[in-house]
Amino acid sequence: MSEVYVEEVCKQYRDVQALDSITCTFEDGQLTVLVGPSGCGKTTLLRTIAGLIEPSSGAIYIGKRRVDGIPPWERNIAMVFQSYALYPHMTVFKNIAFPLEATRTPKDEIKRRVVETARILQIENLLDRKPRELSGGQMQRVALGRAIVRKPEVFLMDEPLSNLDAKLRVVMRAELKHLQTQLGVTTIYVTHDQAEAMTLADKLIVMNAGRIQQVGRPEELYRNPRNVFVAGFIGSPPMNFIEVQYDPAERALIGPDFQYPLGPRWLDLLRNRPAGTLILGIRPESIQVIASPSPGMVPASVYVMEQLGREILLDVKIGPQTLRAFVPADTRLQMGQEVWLQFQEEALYLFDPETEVSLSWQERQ
Amino acid sequence: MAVLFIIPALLFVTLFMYYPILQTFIYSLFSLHRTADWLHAQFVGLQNYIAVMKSEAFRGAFGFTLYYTVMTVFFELAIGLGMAIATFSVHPRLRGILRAVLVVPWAIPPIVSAMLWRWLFHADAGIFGYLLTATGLVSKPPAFLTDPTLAVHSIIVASVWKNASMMGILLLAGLASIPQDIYDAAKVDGARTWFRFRRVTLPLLLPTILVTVLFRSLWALRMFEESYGLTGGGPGTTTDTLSTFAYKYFFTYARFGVGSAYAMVIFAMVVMVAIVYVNRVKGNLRFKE
Repeated sequence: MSEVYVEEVCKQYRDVQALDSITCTFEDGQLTVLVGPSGCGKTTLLRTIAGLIEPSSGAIYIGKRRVDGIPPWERNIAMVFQSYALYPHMTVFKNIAFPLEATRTPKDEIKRRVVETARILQIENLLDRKPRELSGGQMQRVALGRAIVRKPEVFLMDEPLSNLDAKLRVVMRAELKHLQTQLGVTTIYVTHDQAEAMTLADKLIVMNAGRIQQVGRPEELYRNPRNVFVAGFIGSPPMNFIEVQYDPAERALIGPDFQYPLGPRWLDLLRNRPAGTLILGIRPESIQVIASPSPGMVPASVYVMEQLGREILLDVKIGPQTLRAFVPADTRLQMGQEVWLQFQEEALYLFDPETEVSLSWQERQ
Repeated sequence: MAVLFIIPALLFVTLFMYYPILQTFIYSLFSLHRTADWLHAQFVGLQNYIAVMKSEAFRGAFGFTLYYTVMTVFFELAIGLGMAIATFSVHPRLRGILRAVLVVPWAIPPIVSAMLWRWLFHADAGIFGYLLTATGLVSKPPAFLTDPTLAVHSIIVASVWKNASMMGILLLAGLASIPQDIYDAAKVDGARTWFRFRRVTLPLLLPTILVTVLFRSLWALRMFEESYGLTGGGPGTTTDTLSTFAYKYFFTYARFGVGSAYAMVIFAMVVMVAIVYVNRVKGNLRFKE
């Protein structure tokens, strides 16, 4: 068990900068999730740590040992692939035993450890089967078994649950989390699914376009996103964004169809800012929808209602723009009906339109 | 309706495969010399076959063909596998070029390649003889094509050169069909190069190897061009294969009866080998699903 430290790692493909000076720490014994849209560089970073890709520059440490330039088979890591990558010609037993055989473990110890691993993962009855005779969930367990059997310093997981159906994914997610906590092995987990990332992570690293956007605990990233990208990526449904004009004279934000008076906290934060465009962000769960007008509220019209059972997900229009909000499940609304939205000031985010950085990020930290 | 679609292929196969086979079989039961008019020839039953089996020359040709098949297929597989792995491990952009280079010997028509090698092996004008004498290894050029032992192995060398590349190409395709994730998994699982090759690559390549060896063996058992082009079966009949022998009986001696019996024997052998292989290969193909 060790900490993994990545320092100034770059990976340049012919005309693509896949990794742009990545520096980050994966703490000892913790589960760190690399999350971002496809093509953001998260898998490239994982494979660089695995040694399957050599970085163009930078250094990678596992524990105290510098590993870049060392082949993957000498890094003492284990990896779980999205495709599981089980050896099709070997039985489950042989698959799990493979890393031990590769590192010349004595025969009786191999047997003992394979059986023990199979017991932990509840696949003892499958040891004689070939991968083609297994279901997706069973293959997933075998892949996990192959990873944990050798007690590596680091687990690397590349979208390990993506090939499972939705129900099984939730079950395996919980089991994975339990297993990781129990074993206490440093784990780096790649996913594009922000819900999976939120539920699993001790720490989240959000990536986009080959760069780290923000690092933090899941609730930190949710509460205090550093920029528009993170704000829009973390949380489901994503944060709403509206382009507004900041008017210092009026002490208000001017929207397409509304005027939103600012409170003292925001005025203080914006005191050195000239009049101009800002991006206003508000999460769907922070919008209150009210049927009758009152001062400071934003008029809108109901566009679509999606009954989710526990609540209704509402799409409303403000001028040409669509916003999403939640209302209680028993709310009676009609399409096209006029409603008023109340934005809670403490749940409001403002972003610079140029840098897309949150104006309240420093203050909230 | 469906029958209509089968008819063209069926006609073709009947006309060019089954009919000649049947014809050959009929010929093989008659005493035919300088004539193919079997309706007026003497029916001899299996006598032609007995003559074939008894003949020293047949046993010689049979022995050479078998030896040739085992040797060429073995070396072609070894060299082909080496070429496939070498090509596979270079950068993908280079791989295309290498593959094109690999295919060249195989793309040359067999008889042309045989002629080419005949000149290379030529006792007076051949480059091999020249190189060996020039470097002082031997005092006079070896009789590559006229010494019995040398002739046999010269033919094998020429065949291996020509066909190893075909093996290489097929094995390369086999290598490429193994998912990259499996190679990667073996790497992070701590397996070094040789261990990975022995425990992962080779077993997964086995179905391809078996199919390739099958095709190549069937081809080798019927080998004709190399012997015909390089030595004409000589010296004496040392490098006569079953096919060149059958050919000689047909077209040199015009003994259609015995020649047909030869042809039928080759046919039966090839079919037997094919059945054995196909059954073996079926079992090994299963894990590819």
